[in-house]
Amino acid sequence: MPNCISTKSRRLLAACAGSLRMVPLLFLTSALNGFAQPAGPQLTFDSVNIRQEGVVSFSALDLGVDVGPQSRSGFAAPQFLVGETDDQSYRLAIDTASIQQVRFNTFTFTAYLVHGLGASPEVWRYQATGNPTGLFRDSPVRVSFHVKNGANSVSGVILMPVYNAAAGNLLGAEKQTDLAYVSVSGTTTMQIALSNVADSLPIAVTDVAASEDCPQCWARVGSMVSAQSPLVVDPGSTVTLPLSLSPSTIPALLQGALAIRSDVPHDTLSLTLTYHTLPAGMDRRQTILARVRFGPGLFGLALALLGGIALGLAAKYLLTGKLGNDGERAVHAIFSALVLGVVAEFIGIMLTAYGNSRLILFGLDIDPRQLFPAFVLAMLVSGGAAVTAWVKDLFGKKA
Amino acid sequence: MDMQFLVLVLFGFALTPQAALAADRATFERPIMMDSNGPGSELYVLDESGVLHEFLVKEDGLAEYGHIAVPSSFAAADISFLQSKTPASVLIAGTQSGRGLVMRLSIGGRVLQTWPSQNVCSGVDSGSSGNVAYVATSDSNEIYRIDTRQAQAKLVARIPDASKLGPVAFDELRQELYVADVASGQVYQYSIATKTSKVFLTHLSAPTALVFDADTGRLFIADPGQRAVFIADTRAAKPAAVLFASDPLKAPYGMTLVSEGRVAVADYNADSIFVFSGKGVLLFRYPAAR
Repeated sequence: MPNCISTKSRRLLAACAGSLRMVPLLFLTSALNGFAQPAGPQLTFDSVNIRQEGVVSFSALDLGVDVGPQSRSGFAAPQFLVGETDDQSYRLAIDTASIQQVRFNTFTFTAYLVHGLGASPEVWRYQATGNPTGLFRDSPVRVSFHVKNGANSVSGVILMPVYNAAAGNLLGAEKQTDLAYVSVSGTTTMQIALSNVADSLPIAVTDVAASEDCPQCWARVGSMVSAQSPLVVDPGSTVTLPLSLSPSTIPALLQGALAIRSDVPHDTLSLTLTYHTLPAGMDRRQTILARVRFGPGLFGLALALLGGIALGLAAKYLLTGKLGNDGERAVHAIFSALVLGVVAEFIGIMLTAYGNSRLILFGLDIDPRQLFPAFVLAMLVSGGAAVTAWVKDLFGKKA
Repeated sequence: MDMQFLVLVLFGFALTPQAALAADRATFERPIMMDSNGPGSELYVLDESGVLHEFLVKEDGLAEYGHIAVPSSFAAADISFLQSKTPASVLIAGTQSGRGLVMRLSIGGRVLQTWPSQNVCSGVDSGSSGNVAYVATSDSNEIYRIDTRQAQAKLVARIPDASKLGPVAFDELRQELYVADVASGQVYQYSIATKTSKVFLTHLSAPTALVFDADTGRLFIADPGQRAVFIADTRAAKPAAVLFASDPLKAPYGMTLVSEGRVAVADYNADSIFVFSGKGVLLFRYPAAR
């Protein structure tokens, strides 16, 4: 409850009356004081042009003498932004905790005007409203203010944030050139680069929500970012947002099996980032698309290779009646198929993942990191010319 | 396709459905604006995610009974329930693709009518017949009249000294409009009969919602800048803003009168709806747990 005994402000007096539920007395008080002029100095702000992209104009409401918590003792940073008049007779302090963006694209803040030094300076409170127009981004700007007390008028400058809900997306996100590879076994961490332009306010990302084209493909899509531990992007910098991606193994493998071509995403994640500028900007949302391809992981790939090699050898035996060349021992032939299959898969992965090469199999541009292509590749390598010729005959295509 | 089919057959038997992770868009989140069928027992609240929640106002709480999504391309600025219209509908003023628009949206979620505007539509209030509404624009500071039986809005007035007009309240009996200037912290009074406007109230911070109580002649003003709701007697010779409620309000964005003379307030920062008695006593909040 406000200190009702020492309150001089009409607004605070009304607050006291409200808290005491003295409604009839409130009307009487208001009628007596309704048109009394505030006794404090008049505070005005100049309009400010933001990089030729817009203008902010201000209005200030005089709330009278401040009798708040020990007259805001010292107006210490970082809660308060402080400027002073050119003649140093007045200090202006803006309470960053009071800043809020409100409807109709305006923002408000509480400002304190301090006159005099020592233990008990005079302090007046003002409620200011900023009215932005144009499309500028939330920015720190130098705003001129004027203090008029009787015939005396002095001016000063304060560095303060200004806000604009009409600005577009504030976060910069790098366009994804390569598809992100996500293993279906376990959790894969994906990094999303986020940037913020210079001469703006820091941006705090407080939430990441994901929606998927294939919801059943995912066990969890998460981020460590939260309102309690936000990711801060300072002006002129780029940071990475880590995402933990845990697919559901079988649905993800099925989804991958349906898209053999290496340049086709298996799923697209729509990541909706919730963020605000610091201090006290309004919550904004921005959607970033992340295209991913599922991969079977090392264990799954090894199983596919072994299965393909076994099937290739079996097919070769059925077609030719032997596992290897003439006179070659079966153990040697199996071991050769194993080594050659692994080598072929390794080279295929290296060339397609890290080079500009493509692996074309039966006219299809395939990704050897996928389960089924790896299986087929191993089968053809271990099966040798006999199996390859049989497959070509079967499908009528050239490898 | 043969290979794809083969893989499907191989793994299809093992397919296990997974729960969808898509967000529930109907979650009540950051209320911005509201109106009721009356003052009545039905409350319509539009939240930050563009969902219009429909509540039944009970004696000691709110019960949500439905919700609809406002078209995602539309940025709403103010809402007014249309009385005596079938089907039940609301007028929503706002912008779409950078241009002003007033939309009549049925409670079933169907867009029934639209009135395009060159200017940003910021405030709307309608009369008891449901046929007439008044719309303010924030970039040209004009007031338009909408007749739901006609396709075009008609310019009524321009408030030349205003900075940024926002919410509107309509005194149907006296044929007067109250329009808040959000940027300069003032409320203008416009007489439809005499076609004159004057400053009705000053000494506000950022008035973002106005409600006129026809029974008492009081004008309610929500001022998030001062984290409070004020009232002014429109019949008084020298009207002044008097504190109605402050604690526990953080950012009273929207407001409306509901049944039994109560006042519902949409508080954006508190992420809640507060319901006060006609004397400013807090009765309950929704959701109760926040």
